[in-house]
Amino acid sequence: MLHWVQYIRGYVTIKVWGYSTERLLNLCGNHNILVWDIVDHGDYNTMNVSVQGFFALKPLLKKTGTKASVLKRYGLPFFMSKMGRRKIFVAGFLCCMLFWMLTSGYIWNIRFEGNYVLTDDVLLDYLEEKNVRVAMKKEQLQIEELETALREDYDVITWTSVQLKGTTLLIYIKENEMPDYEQDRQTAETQGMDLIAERDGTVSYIITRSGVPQVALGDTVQKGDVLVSGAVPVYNEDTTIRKYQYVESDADIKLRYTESVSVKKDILYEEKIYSGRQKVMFTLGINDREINLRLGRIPYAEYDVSGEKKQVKLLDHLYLPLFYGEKTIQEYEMVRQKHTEDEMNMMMQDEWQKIMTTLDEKGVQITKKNVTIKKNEKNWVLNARLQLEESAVRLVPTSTEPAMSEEADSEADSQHGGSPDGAQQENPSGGENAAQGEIVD
Amino acid sequence: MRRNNKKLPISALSNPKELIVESLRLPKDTMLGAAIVTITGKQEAFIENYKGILEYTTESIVLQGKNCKICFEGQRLSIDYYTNEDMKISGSIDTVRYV
Repeated sequence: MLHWVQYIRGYVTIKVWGYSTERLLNLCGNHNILVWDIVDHGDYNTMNVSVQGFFALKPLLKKTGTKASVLKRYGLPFFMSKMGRRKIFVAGFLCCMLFWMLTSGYIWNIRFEGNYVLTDDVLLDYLEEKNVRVAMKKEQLQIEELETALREDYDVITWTSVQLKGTTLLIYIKENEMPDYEQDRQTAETQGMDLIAERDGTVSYIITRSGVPQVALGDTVQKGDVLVSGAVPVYNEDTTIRKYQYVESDADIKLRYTESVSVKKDILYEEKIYSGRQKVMFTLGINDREINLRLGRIPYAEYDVSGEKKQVKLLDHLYLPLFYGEKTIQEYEMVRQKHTEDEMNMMMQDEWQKIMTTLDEKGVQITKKNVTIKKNEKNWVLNARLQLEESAVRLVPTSTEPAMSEEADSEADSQHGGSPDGAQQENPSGGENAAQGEIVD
Repeated sequence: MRRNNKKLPISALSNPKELIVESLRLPKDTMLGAAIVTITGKQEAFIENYKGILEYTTESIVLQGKNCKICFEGQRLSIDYYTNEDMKISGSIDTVRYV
């Protein structure tokens, strides 16, 4: 404690020599000047005395005929005056502190963890909508609200945790791993699902497991045509439709169609030949702006620029909007080249392979093919006429309206009246839904 | 047998002032101006109630009390602090003599 007081008030180490230093010590005592760490060095003594004490010492030195000189200065007053002489340093230090204090009040990085279905970009766009973005003030961030909003706006998110670590906004997300089967089944039960054609073609294969097939083998269909209806009619005795029983259509259907593919490849081509001459320049950036540090203009007519930049990171999570990096400028020359026949052959083979692979990936089978390669002077053209088979069908909610009939109406009434058992016996799975539909109507 | 901590017989106190201080149980350091020397081990000595310093070298420090001089002898003696009321000596103290 005493040391701190001494440091704040400042003290000096002095060297005292002369006739009688003992007398000086006695006088110091009498004048209430505190001296400490008095060490005898033979010819002279050294001692510590406070700054005020040192000034009060002067008349005593005269009286005793001793001399004193300051060896060292300690304490805050001396430190301050030293700093006063280094104004730029102090200003720089203060600016640095100010910069830290200001920048640490903003968010400089947003990170997501645990998102698989929702990509970072999607979430970033969403945050942008919510006015949460990089370089926003921390105070403006409503963590609780953001967590709730994320959960409410995305059904797939089951749990969220938003944290601020330094200047990084960390968003932890748990997504629902199980697909929403329950909901799908419900839609199917209440609405019924049709299978429709996704493209024009001829039906080359059809096996229906549930639903009513609307097309036969060899029929030509157009895109959007219903192939299997999810509304199974229930007939009255007089063969009129009493009502529909709704099911999710299920069938194996293949549509056959023909398609032409044409690929053209030029024999002449341009190639970048790198001269090997290159230059490296450094890049500094703030936010979106960039400054390239280089001397003079780029001396190449045609060149590629490639490089990478890194964000300045302090500690572990403090990202600053500053970037630095290196860019390489490589000179190249465009040279016109000619493919050899072998090369052209190879390229055509590759193209054909590519077409096959894409079709295979889509689950399309080739039943017939007719491929020709036409060799022109300037280019080669690959023409392929393909007969393809594909199960191009899609499930959509059924378009068949519930049938209106008086009997069904009366049945619905009786169902309401309290005899649902009878109705269920007649229509084991879909009766109730059909009846509900009628009531609504 | 007499116990050691018993008071001195009045006849042993030569000075009438001492007699009064003793009988009234007044503090002797302030009344008689007696120096108080507290020595901790061999290294430190803490002195109160002295008049001044007469001699100071690394081998000896001589202080002026009211009635006598106190002489500390030893090696590497130094004064940690010095005020009007008290002072502290540190170093290796060999002898303390009252002259």
